[in-house]
Amino acid sequence: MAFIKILSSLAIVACCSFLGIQAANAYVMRVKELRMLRMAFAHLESEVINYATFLPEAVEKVASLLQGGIREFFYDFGRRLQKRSGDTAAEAWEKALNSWGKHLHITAEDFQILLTFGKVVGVGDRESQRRYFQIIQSQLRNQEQKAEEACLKYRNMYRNLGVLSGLALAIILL
Amino acid sequence: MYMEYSGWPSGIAWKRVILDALPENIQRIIDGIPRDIAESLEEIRIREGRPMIIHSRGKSYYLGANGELFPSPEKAYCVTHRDVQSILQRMSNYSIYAVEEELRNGYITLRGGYRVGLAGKAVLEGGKIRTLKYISSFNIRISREIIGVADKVIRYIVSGAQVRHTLVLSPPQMGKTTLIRDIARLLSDGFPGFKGVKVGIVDERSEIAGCFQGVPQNNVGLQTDVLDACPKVEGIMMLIRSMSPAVIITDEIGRAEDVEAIEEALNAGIKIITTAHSSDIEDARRRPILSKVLDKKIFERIIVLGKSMGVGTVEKIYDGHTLNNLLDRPVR
Repeated sequence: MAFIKILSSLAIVACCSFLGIQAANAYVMRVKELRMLRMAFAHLESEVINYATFLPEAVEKVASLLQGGIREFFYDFGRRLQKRSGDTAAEAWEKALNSWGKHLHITAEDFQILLTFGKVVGVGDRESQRRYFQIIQSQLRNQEQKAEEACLKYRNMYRNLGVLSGLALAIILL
Repeated sequence: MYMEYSGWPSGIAWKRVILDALPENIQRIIDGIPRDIAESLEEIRIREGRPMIIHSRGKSYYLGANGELFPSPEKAYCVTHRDVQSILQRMSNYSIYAVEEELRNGYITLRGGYRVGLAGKAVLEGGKIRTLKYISSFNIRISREIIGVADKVIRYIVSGAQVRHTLVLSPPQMGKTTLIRDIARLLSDGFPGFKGVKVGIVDERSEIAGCFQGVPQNNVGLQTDVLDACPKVEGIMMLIRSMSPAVIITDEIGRAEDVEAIEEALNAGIKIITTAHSSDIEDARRRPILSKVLDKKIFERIIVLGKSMGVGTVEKIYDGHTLNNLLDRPVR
């Protein structure tokens, strides 16, 4: 009997710790993803401004440099452009973002920034594209800073909270 | 390799490329055009807030929402602002920044060499056109290569193994480019009595060879090198320096620099075949640059195109030195 009790308490602690780590990880992942997005936009900017590469090719090139969900998002956007489904780049961007956004760890605010960028990507001459790229990169930098602060603040808290609440639950149930 | 005259080509090969550049609702309209009209389609005119119009065999029709043809605009499909934006995005491959240079010149070239003329508001910078904005009119020109159109003029251009300097004059839309494209093919591939020579094309507006990513989409001959989208003056120099052509073919001369570049080629012993906008020699004389060219007697043959027997009629062929017409009557 005691053996089962110990085993189930261990299970409870492990589960709660896992949930805590998951919650903490979301903060770490958001910082990583924002950083990768910023890198993606820097690469895309260089393709667009310096080489005037057509957007579908440029996006595919950039996607190959990325990882994880961000890579999938860019691939999806590029594929939609290649297939010429949808009439405008903005439509393709929105669809790709809607289908991959939920797999990312970004907040609603980050999502909104990306959505807005989609409305201007590829539209207008090089000079205006350069400005849009600068804007999104500085916006992402701000978000990244906020995300880092939040990460420092909450990462350890959630981890500890997970373990401690697990322990508390185990003690109560015992 | 001499290809037999295959007649005026019909066909709707243009659809594949052009539909790709249009939004889905307009694709449906264009796809619905009756086949006999589609086969001889010359232009599709799209203007914001106004009905779509197509031109075919000298007639124009208003288009309904499913491609029906109407003689009057009442039931025609009216182009929306959204349509125009979508067309611009799709034509530029979602990359308006990448076609800046083309917008400045007022057209975009699609795959297959089809050209789309644009009109909108010009943005000036230092008195020069920087780009176009508020683009609201598109003129999709369906060019067709016509293998064999040059057969009837080639014997005036070639004497023995020698090619003569030739200028083709005509008003717009009379088949100048179609003619010199076929001349390029004949000179390059050769024909009975003439062994092919090396031909260089400077295709500033991508109309002659219709290159897509550097590869000619039209038959311009086996021994032909194409400098695509290259300014005429630089292009002629580049060809002279590096490609050793016997003949250089280029479109629409009209600026003083063009004439200088042509003289450069003459001095290098290269034959020139080119075109200019002008209805006849008298008309050309009134234009400062062309009259200079005529006075210098650079060209040995001057071919005038018109439409007295339909578009592409060869009205006259002048001997450039005596200015005598070598044709008894127009041929087509």
